[in-house]
Amino acid sequence: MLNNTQAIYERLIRGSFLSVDSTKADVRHLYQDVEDNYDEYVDYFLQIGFRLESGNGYFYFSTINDSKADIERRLESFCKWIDYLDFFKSMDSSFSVGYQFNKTYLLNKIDMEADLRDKVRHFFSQQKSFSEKVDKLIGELESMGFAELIEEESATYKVTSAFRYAEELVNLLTIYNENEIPE
Amino acid sequence: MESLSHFRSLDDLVKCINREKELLRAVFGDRKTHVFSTDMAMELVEYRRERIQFLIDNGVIHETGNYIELEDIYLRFFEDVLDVNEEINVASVKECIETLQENITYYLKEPNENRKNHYISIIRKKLRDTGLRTLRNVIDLKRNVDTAYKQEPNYDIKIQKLKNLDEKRESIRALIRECEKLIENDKAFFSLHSNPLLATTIADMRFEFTEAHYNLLSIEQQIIEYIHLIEKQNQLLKKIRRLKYLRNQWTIEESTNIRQIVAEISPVWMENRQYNRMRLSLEMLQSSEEMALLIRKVGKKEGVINKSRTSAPALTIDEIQEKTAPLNEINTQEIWNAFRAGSNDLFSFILNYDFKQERTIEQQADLFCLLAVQHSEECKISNSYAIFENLEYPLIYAK
Repeated sequence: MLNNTQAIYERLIRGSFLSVDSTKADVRHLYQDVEDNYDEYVDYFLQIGFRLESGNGYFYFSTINDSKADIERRLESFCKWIDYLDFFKSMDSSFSVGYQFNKTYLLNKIDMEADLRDKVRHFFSQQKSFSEKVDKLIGELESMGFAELIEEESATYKVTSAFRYAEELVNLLTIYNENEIPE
Repeated sequence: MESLSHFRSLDDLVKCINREKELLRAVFGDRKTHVFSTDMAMELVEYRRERIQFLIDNGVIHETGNYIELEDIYLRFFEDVLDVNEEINVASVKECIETLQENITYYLKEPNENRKNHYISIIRKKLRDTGLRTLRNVIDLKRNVDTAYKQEPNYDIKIQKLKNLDEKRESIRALIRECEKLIENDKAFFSLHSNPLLATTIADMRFEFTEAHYNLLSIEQQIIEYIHLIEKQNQLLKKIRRLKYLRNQWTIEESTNIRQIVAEISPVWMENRQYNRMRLSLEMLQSSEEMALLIRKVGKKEGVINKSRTSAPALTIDEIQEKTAPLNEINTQEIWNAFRAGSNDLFSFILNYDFKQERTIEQQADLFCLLAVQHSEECKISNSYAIFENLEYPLIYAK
């Protein structure tokens, strides 16, 4: 019995992810429901043109229509995330599932390390101050479902299982002559 | 020794610890940062310096510069009983085994029954101690492995810590084996098995060793998994940096298979489409006053309301009647075509042309120049001139 098709659709259609370790009870409930009725949900969403994909602790949508015209757009999206990943991993190499941070922490790191400052400077040209850029960056993580606010008072966020998707995406890539390229 | 305890009885010690529990709790809590200042300590002893001095004199705390720390013996005692020690002390278990062996030798050589019993009690105590310490070490090891993996931010140190903990795990296992060998094979020890009290202690210790053994196996798995995960993260980090480098060099598409990968996948998050832009039903929007109110509300919020048009007054009959106003426009192409069809010179043609409106001589002259310039290729300009009123003009014909 598929009880949550609308709620699942509304979340995944925005390009967001469902995480097993979400702090939000409703998201965890949706995740559980998809896990319990995976095949039925897959069939259901296929009929309206979406493939319900599953990963290690997360679910997301991909489209059946594999239009080649969108490749440039996808390339752009992918590269944008390479930039973000590079920033987060440079800030703290242990930035991964379960990692906790808040805005002040990010701003302090940026303030202390010139390399990070340089990276952030190139993000979001509309936003002028580092504070605005960091807000936007956290917003990007949040809208994808890669991080969630776990404590409002200190504005602390936690990285969810869905972040593995971004890491796995990088692992999909093959760099030709990898050893010749500086780290 | 300077820090020798001067407590005359256990009562004194317990009383003293109870009296200064707040200070001791605070100093113990700060044991890792080593920044508990004397000023902070003074606050906790109601600014009575003699209370701090008493603790120093009795070797409970010591003062270095302006900071206060617990004496090592108390620190270890608190950590041990509270089960929070971070060091895995394999040496202490080894010591236990050595003492055990010594006492077995004494027991065998001792003819006096009373003294024999005394050694038996030491042996029992040491056996119990060995079992408990081994188990405690295993528990500490498990906790330390988790802490090293989860809290150490530096990758190199993290791996090093895990490798060191793995060595400790191996040492604990070796000690268990040594101890088991002692119980199983040592002839001298075998003769002790007949003692019923000792037999129970040995059985307890074996049980603890079995538990420790299973735990060590799972710790080994855990360490391997953690090291594997760290290596994986490390590889990922290097890969991301390389990708970023290629991106900065604008060679990512040539140096990787990124284009092929994005052609194979089509996740919704990479799409630009707005799937959730739903149009509301017009019928529904017009269905009730409530909807109209909502629309007004939304409009006001979006600032649309100010731009909305109000009804204009009705048109008068005069405004409805048809009126025409001729435009003072001429079609130069049409004039040129007409000129080409005839044989007159251009200026005479313009003068005689039936314009719908009256034109001044200046306007006619402007038109003459305009046509001559626009169609210079199609004109034949003769050397003859003619005069009209006070204007002299060249005779221009169509080719």
